[in-house]
Amino acid sequence: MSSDLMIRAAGVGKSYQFYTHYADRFKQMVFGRFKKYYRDYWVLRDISFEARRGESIGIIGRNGAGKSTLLQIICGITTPTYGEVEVNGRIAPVLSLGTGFDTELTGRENAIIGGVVLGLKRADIIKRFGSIAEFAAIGQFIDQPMKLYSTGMFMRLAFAICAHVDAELMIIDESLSVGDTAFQDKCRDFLRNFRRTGSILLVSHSAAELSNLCDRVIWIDRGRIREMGAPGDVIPKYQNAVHEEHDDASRFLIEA
Amino acid sequence: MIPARKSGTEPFGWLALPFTTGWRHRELIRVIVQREFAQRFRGSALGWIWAVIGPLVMLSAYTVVFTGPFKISSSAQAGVGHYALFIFAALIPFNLFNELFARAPNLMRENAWFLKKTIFPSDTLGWIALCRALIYAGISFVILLAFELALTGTIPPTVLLLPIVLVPYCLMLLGIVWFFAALGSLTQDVAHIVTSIMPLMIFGSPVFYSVSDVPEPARSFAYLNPLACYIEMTRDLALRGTLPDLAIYAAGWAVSLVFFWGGHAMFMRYRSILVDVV
Repeated sequence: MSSDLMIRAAGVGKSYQFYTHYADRFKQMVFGRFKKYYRDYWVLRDISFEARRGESIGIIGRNGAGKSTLLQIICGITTPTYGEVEVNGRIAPVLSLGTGFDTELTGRENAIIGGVVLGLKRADIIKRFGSIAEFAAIGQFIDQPMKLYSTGMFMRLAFAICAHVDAELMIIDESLSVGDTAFQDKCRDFLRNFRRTGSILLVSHSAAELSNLCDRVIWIDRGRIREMGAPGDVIPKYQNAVHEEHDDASRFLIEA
Repeated sequence: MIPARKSGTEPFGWLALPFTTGWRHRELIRVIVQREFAQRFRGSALGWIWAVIGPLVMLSAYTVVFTGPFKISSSAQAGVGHYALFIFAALIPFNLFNELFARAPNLMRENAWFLKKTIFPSDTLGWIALCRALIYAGISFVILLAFELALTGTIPPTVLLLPIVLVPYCLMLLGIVWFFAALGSLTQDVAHIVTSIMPLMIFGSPVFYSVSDVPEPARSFAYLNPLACYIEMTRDLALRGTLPDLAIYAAGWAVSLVFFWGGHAMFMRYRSILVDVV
């Protein structure tokens, strides 16, 4: 295990199993080694890449290409069907809206739970709470139940928490675009600073964001890596391809 | 949190694994249990006092009923003091089981928003459910001791030994929670099965009677229900002031460890697919 490597993904594939009949799930559990009772939907196939410590990677691709699933696998939330993933360091995931918040609880309570989930001690989170609240800048709402929050407030708090857990890898799933310009600037400043010591894994549809924050961009198309390289090379190719393709349902086919 | 994904490589790592995950995430367990309590009593004027009122009302009712209209004189009561205490001492471990058993099949589904969105070690859900239930059991237990003191004038010193019974009991419960949490996420039917058999459990367990009341040919089978062992051992220590039968105690430990390791192994085996299913 090289400590210089932040992320190593070797031949990662992920399929979701679709069952036609409810009972098939049991048949699969019992007789699975003899016969297959489900249809596969391959979200990801043969994904291999490495990221060095301090290197930031952008992921681009159309809806349903498998970007979020890849992030979930790297976070360890879900496991790959085949292949291996190795992450060396503390992860802070700012995953798409509602980063595991309990909407009945206040922002303050969620911040404490969120911080502990990410590996901090309760006392440390309480110590840093002032700084978190200042970063989120949602004023009195911090002590209101989160069901009263707007989408932007959710994201502000999520990002603020993740910015305070001494992460070595920040994983950000399209959420930056939710914030207003002022907050986006704040996040960008933070991330630019963060890059000096840590890595970023960023999913985004914004070419500007990707070229600003990432050293490399991976373009995922229908679950496979189509291109990988400098943002200046990959992003224009992707944009051209999107213009040429039709926006139809053929990309969401479930195979037999 | 990442090392958690690589489980013990040492030959007997799997024996320690269910303990170490609980210990490593103790801070998380504490925070979430606190949250659940804060949430439960928020918006009520009396707050946590409600947690005390429930068992207090119940034990008072038992005391009134079994002192007056249904005065029972059975062999079960020998050395117990009062039939209400006899029942209540059994209800505490029984309800502990009941609450966890009822909750287990839906455990993953209830927390799906959490499991899918954050890096959450899902097996700690079992520990969290146990801690929560233990707090209620603790409140009931204090009330039991208060009533025992009021009704009989003494509390046997063997009460202090109760932890030696509680530890294996909790391990068994955790195993059951993990087992049914895994099974319950795969199909909703498990939750229905559990709710259907739960009312039967109270008659299959020595809550209203004592194992010694069971006629002889069936009595040896009564202990096949591991709950029975723990209920009787609780009564021994908390009411009768006697030490539990050593053979039963040892058997209880053995059964508990099998449940504990088996349940955890089952949970971990299916853990990766559970998150995708719920």
